[in-house]
Formats: sequence, structure tokens, C-alpha cells
Amino acid sequence: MFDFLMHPFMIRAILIGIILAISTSLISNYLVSSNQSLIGDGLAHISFTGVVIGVLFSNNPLYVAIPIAILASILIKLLMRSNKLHGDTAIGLVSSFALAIGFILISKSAGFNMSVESMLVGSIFSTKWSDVLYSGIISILVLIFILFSYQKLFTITFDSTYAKFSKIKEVYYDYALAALTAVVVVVGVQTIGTLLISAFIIFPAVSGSLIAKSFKHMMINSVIINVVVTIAGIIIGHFLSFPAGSTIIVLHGITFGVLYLFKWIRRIE
Amino acid sequence: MILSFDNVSVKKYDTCIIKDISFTVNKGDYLNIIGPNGSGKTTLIKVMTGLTKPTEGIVRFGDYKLGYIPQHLHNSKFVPATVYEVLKLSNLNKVKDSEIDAYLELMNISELKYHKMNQLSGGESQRVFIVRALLSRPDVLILDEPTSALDPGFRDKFYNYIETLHNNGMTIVHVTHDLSDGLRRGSKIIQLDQTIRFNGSFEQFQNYHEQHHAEKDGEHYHV
Repeated sequence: MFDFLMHPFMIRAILIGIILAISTSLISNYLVSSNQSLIGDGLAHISFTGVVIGVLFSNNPLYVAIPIAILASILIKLLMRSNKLHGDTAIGLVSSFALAIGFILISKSAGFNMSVESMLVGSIFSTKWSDVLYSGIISILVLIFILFSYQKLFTITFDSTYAKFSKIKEVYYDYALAALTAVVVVVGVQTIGTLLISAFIIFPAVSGSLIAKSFKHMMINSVIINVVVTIAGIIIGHFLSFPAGSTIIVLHGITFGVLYLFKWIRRIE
Repeated sequence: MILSFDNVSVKKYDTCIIKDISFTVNKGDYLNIIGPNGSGKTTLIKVMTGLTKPTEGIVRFGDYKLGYIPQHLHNSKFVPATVYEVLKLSNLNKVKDSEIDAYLELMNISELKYHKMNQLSGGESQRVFIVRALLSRPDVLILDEPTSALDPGFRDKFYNYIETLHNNGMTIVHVTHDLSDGLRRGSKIIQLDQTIRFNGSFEQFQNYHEQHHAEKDGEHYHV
């Protein structure tokens, strides 16, 4: 029954899935709570172009894609904070500009040897052990950041005005969270895919909050939901020959629907 | 000196919100800042709390800890935070659970300790934010229309407690447009309408008020 676990590609897929599920769900709680859900979507588009440039000019696309995504996340935050553009507008401008450059590069590069489809929907079954290592390192960075900044991030997310009054350097935490999101998204784009990674960031927190009794509870729920759904999505995807990334997001959608219905019924009762 | 304003002005897109404001808050003061809606009271408070920088003039801060009860609640409705989490985590100094319990008891909201903030009424939320300010153990308490969402029965109890804090040495800066709120003998009064119209004691304000009538812009001041 568990023969599929004998394949190294399956072990790698499940490991990378769990690692990404933990890091995205931890970040997810802060982004969704502070109305920044779409930043994951924008950064995914930028990462797409980052990976394209990485494939063309480097042996390891991550070395190029990560700095590009971090710079773009800082640019988006600068535009959002300038008061000249609304948050979503800044994300839309930067991400669509970057995505357009990515497609132009692909169309004009004869040596581009990566499937665009796999970049759009991900290819978690073709990851290498080095991808597991990179994801692990990035996840540890996210975990350290959240653990050491939990109190301040909570205050900023809950009441940014009070955070400013309390002399919390809210701007630094904002940039740090955006940069970390960018790094997680770059790794996620290769496995979950450009089109689906943003859902991997939005669903866990939204579903987790539906049955949460507190903010801490929401964080725990989101991690559990994301890990369980990811493992189930990878296994179901493998047996039914579905793209794993898409299966994970469909399961997230179903989980959200069931929890929403559960909450609605309980409210009626 | 707790803080002083020297010719402070704040402009927003060429519009002057407050103009040429100068005054000093000293330790132990009970200062009421009054004025009609749109007179610049909240902007003045934002400058006091460091949330807004003046476009002109100088603000000097003494080495005192400020506590702040805002007029509007800025909390995110999407965060399923409990009252306990907000009180425990919003204060960067360590807060004991017994202290939280005592203040919740004082504000008559002990039963709300594990309730989610986004399920509380306006008045209940405001009481939580009063507790949050008090838990920071401030030397100066800045209150921006603190009782706007409280029921009248609790207002008196609240102001009695503020008076007790003042009698124990806390400096109070209280902003209101309704002088039936917390105005007391011995306090100082600044009347604001973009710029300072009156700056003096409660007793001086009574005389000033009688001379200039109580009505302005539809506001009725009952002193």
C-alpha cells in the first residue's frame, strides 16, 4: 500500500511539500491578516521571470531568481508606502511588468530549455535533493524570523498604529516579511508553480482562521491544514496522475468549503 | 517638563490642520484639550504620540513613558486575536497575568478575557484598549475621546479612576469635544480651533466662557 514511498522522487516531493507547507502557512497568517494576500501572487509572477533569467544565465536558477524577487518585493513595498499608489496597484504594476519581460525573454531565447508549463503549474516530482536542502534552509530562516518577531509581528498585524506608537520599527518588519515571502515564493514556484503558489499562501490562513479561537490557534491550524492537504495532494496526484500542485490547491479549496459550511451550520444552530 | 510644543504646525496637502501651537505639559498636569470636530485635536495628539511629524516647529519630549488610548480603533477585523493575546502581546514589557486580570476586573470585562476582539462591541473594545494603555505603566496617559463608545453609567466610573491615577502622580492629557466629559477643577484647559484660542486654568476658562458665550459651531459646552 505504501510502495510509492519506495521512490526517492516521492520522498523528495513529500519532504519539500511539508517544508514549504510549514513556511508558507506561517507567513500566510501575517499576510492574510494584514490584507496583503495578493503579494504572493505578484511575487510569483516576478519569480517566474527570475527563474527564466536564472535558467538562461546561471547553472542554478535560484541564485538569480532569489535576488530578483527580493529586489522586486522591496520595490513593491516602496511603492505601497509612497502613498502615491494603492497596495494592490503597486503589486499589479511590478508583477505584470516583470512577467512580460519573462515571456519576451522566453520567446527570444533559443537556448531556453525548461518547460513553461512546468513553471506555471509546478513539477514537485522532478525536484532534486538540493531543492529539498534549499527549501529546508529557507524554512528554518522563516521559522527563526517568526519565533523571534512573534510579539512584534502580532502587534503590527493587529494594530499598526499602536505598533508605531510603541516605537516598533514596523517598516523593517514589513520589508523583512516581504523579502522572506519572496524567497519562499521563488522556491515554491519551481514546485507548486507560478499560478498556484499564491493560493498556497492564502488558503492556509483563511481556512485556519475559520476554526480558530485565537491568533495562536489560527497559526497552528494553518500549519496542520497545509501540511495534511499538501501530503494528501501529492499522494492523490501521484495515483491519479494529476499535477500535484493543482491537486493540493483543489484540496485546499474543498477544505475551505467544508470548514466554511461547518462554521455556517454551527452559527445557525 | 513632560513635553513642549514650540510654534508647531501640521500641514496636509497645503491645508493647515494645526497652526503655530505652543504649550508645555508639566509633570502632574491634568490637561484637557477641547475644541469642535475638525479643530485639529486628533492631529495634535498624533504629534504628541509621535505618530505624526510636525511640518513646522519643534516638539520636545522629556524622558517619560506615554500611554495612549486612541479615539478610533485601528485593529484588523481579520485577526482572530483574543482579548488576552492583545493585552499580553501588545505590551513589549513583560505583563503578568494577575495584572491583566486585575485591570479586566476594574473595567468590568473579566468574562471577555478569552473572547475574540472582532466579536466585541465598540464599548467593550474601547475598555480593552484602556486596559492595554494602563498595562504599559505610563507616566503620562493620553486619552483621545476615550469614552466615546462607553455607556454613560461607566463613564463616571472611568473618570473617577482617571482622577485616582492623577492623584497618584500620573500626568493626564485628555482630549474631548464634550466638556461634560471629565472636566474637573484644578485642571488646565487648551481650547483649540486650528490654533490655540484659550490656554489657562479651569477657573479662568469659566470666566472666559461666560464672556464669549457657550455656543460655537453648534457645540454646547456645559461648564
